[in-house]
Order: sequence, then C-alpha cells, then structure tokens
Amino acid sequence: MTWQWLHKFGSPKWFYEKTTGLSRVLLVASLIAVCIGLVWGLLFAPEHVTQKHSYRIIYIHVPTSFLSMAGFFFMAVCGAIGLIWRTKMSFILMQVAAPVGAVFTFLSLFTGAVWGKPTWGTYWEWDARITFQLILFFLYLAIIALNSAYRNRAAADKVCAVLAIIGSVNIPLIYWSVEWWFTLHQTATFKMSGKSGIHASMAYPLVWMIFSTYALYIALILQHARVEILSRESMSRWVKQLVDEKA
Amino acid sequence: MFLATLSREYQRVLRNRSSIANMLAFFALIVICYPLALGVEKELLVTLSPVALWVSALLSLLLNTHQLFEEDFENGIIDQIIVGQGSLFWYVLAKAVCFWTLSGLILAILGPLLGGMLYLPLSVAPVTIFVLAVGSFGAVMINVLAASLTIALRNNSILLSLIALPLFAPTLIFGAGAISNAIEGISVSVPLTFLSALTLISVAICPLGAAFILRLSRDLS
Repeated sequence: MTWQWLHKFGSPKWFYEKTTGLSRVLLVASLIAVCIGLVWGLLFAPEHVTQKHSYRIIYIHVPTSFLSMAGFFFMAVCGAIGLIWRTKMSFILMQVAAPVGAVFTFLSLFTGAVWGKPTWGTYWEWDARITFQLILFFLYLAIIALNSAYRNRAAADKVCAVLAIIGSVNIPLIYWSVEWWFTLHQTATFKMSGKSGIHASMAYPLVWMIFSTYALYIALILQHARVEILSRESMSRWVKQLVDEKA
Repeated sequence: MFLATLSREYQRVLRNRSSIANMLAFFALIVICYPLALGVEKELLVTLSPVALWVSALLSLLLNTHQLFEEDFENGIIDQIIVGQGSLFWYVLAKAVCFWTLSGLILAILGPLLGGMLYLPLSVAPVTIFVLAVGSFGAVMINVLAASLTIALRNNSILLSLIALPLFAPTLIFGAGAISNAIEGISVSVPLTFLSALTLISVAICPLGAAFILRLSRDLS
C-alpha cells in the first residue's frame, strides 16, 4: 500500500494530466525569472575589482555547470528507479533529460571557455575539471546515441539506464577534481554554508540565477516529457481521445 | 561455470589466432604512427611514449570487442545459460579474463619493447608492464559492458567505441601518468593506487551490469 503513490506517479497518463497546468506556468515563470536574473547579474551587479565586467559570465556559467552534473545524477536516479520498480515514467524522464543535460553541459563548457580567455588568457586548458566536464558531455552524447540506435523502446530504456548509472561515477570525479588536482580551475568561492568568498551584492543574483535555472530545467524536462508521453502512448485510448478533443 | 566458460573460450579464440595477430599488428602500427608524425626528436618521443602506448593499447583493445558476445548471442549459448539457471555473471567474468589474457596481457608484455622504439628507457620496463596489465584489465571490463550494451544492435562497433572511450578517460590519465612519473624518476605510487582502484571498481560493477544487460537483451529481442 505504501508504494502505491509511486506507481500512480509512474503512470504516464496520470503524469500528463497532472502537469498540464503546472508545466506551462513553470516554463513561463522560470523564463521570466531567468531574464530577471540575467538583467540583474549582467547589468546591475557591481563590477569586479580585477576581472572588471568579464566576471559577469559567472551568472550563466555556474548555474549551467550545476545543472549539467545534477542532470546526470537525475538521469542515473531515474534509471535506477525504472530498473527497480519498472515504472514507465522514470524512463521517460531519464530519456528526455539526456538532450537537455547535454545542452546545459555544452553551455557550461562554452561559457567557461569565453570566461577563460580574459581571465586565464586561454580558451581551453587540459585541467582536471574541464576535462571531466568534457567527458560528461560525451557521456550525454553516448546515451543519446544509444537511445536512438535501439528500435525496441523497452530495450533502449533499460540499456540507457545502466549506462547512466555507471556513467554517474564521473560526477564525484568532476565535483572533487578541483580539490584533488589543483591545476587551474579555482575551487568554489560560493558556498551555501559557512563563509562565502563572494560579496553579498554579487552573490544574491547568483543564488537567484541558480534557483531560476533549476526551475527552467525542471520546466524543460516537464515539457519534453509531456511530448514524449504523447508519442509513446500514441496508440492508447486516452491520447486518441485527447487528439480528437483538440481537433 | 567460470572454469567451463574459460576453457571453452580459450579453445574458441585460439582456433582463430589471426584476430589476435591482427590486434597486435594494429597496436604496433599505431605506436609507429607517433614517430612518423613527430619526427625523430628523442626528447619529444620519450615524453610522449606513455601516451602513445596507452592510446594504442586502448584502441587495440576495442578492436575485437564487438565479437565478444556476438557468436554466443546468436547461436543460443546465452539462452542456454539463462534456461539452465547458470550464472551469467561468472560467464561474463570468464569471457573478460580470457579476453584480457589474450589481449591486454600480451600488449602489456609487448609494451616496453614498442616503448623501446620510442626511446622509453629500459629501467621503466617493469612499471610499464605492470601499469599496462592492471589498467588494461579495467579497460577490458569497460569493454565487456560496452559490448553487452550494444549486443542487440547491427553495426554496433562505432557506438561501442563511443560508449567505451569516455569511460576509458580516467584509466588513460592515471596509466600514462604512472609511466611518465617512472620516466622522470618520481614515485609512481599515487597514480598506481588510483589506477588499481579504478580497475577494482570496474571489476566490481561492469560484469554485473553486463550480465544484467545480456539477460535483458535476450528477453527483449
């Protein structure tokens, strides 16, 4: 009985119906929040003493990097839930998280390169964290490729889930790489607890951006998941009814 | 299960020795590509030799991987194991051990020889052999996993490399790091510890994952 909520949540129909209103509201709200955060961070936050305006890319770089890792972890957890409890929904969430995560990882790498030029004097450096982030990007691509190679949906889901779980070994490596191998990438100046190395007037927009990017990520996942549900369940009665109603 | 698979696998592979010979030739050819491209500057070649050895070894390991389960998958041996309540885990592990002794281990022994052609000093030969052997064992485990993930697909070898190569990255970093340290006369214990840890993690996780996927692919296809 206690596990009933999980199976209810695992049903694509239930998920689709419950998120109809939520996903749209969340998407609009998170987009507005991201815009506010960008304007706040890029235009109104104070100038950095040594890095001048170039530091402002932190407001994109840090949130996207957070999400590139959290997104992979999310995929691994979804994959594990799907393999253990055989819920349809967790596989759908895992599969749609792959392209979204790949885009965030690319943005994180790209903004890092753009930021690196004025501050470190180089676009690219084979530093531990950057390298592992690149590997993370390739792992995302591998999952997308594996998913599209299988004709059989059930096989693709389970195979990708295993790869996501094993690939998530990389996440702690990226996370702690800056402390283990001190090469170029700095350690986190921004901390949730304890004394933070960043002034409040710069930190507030960053916190805002992190939360709104998380919201945007969730909204994107919901939107993609809803499309994926419709395409996977296109043979079922409730989807056909839905289409008839719209038409 | 383990021993039975092992002996059968040795018989099967040894009947087809040309695939091993091809792999060794491939290994040698990639190593030779480095001096051809870089010229014969001794300093440069010595610093690059760990990288050359590792990249060539990992690529050679990928060469025969797609055939690892192919035959057994198609002629029903995996079905028999599942039906007969046999342990797919031990089957996978035996396959991996056999594959490693006939690829990784030979590559490791040949490593110092080909390294010598890149002016790798003879004093680091024991380290080179050990590092290549340990690292390639972990790499074979990753290969086994990648082979099982792509078993149900046609033309799977490119996708297989796409999955395996990112997972090879830590092995490459620590493996090449250990040999470089040995050349410079620094202690090799740190990269070697990390490399051994990686291999142990792979041995712990990958055969389990591969056994799971093999069972699944059989059920679904």
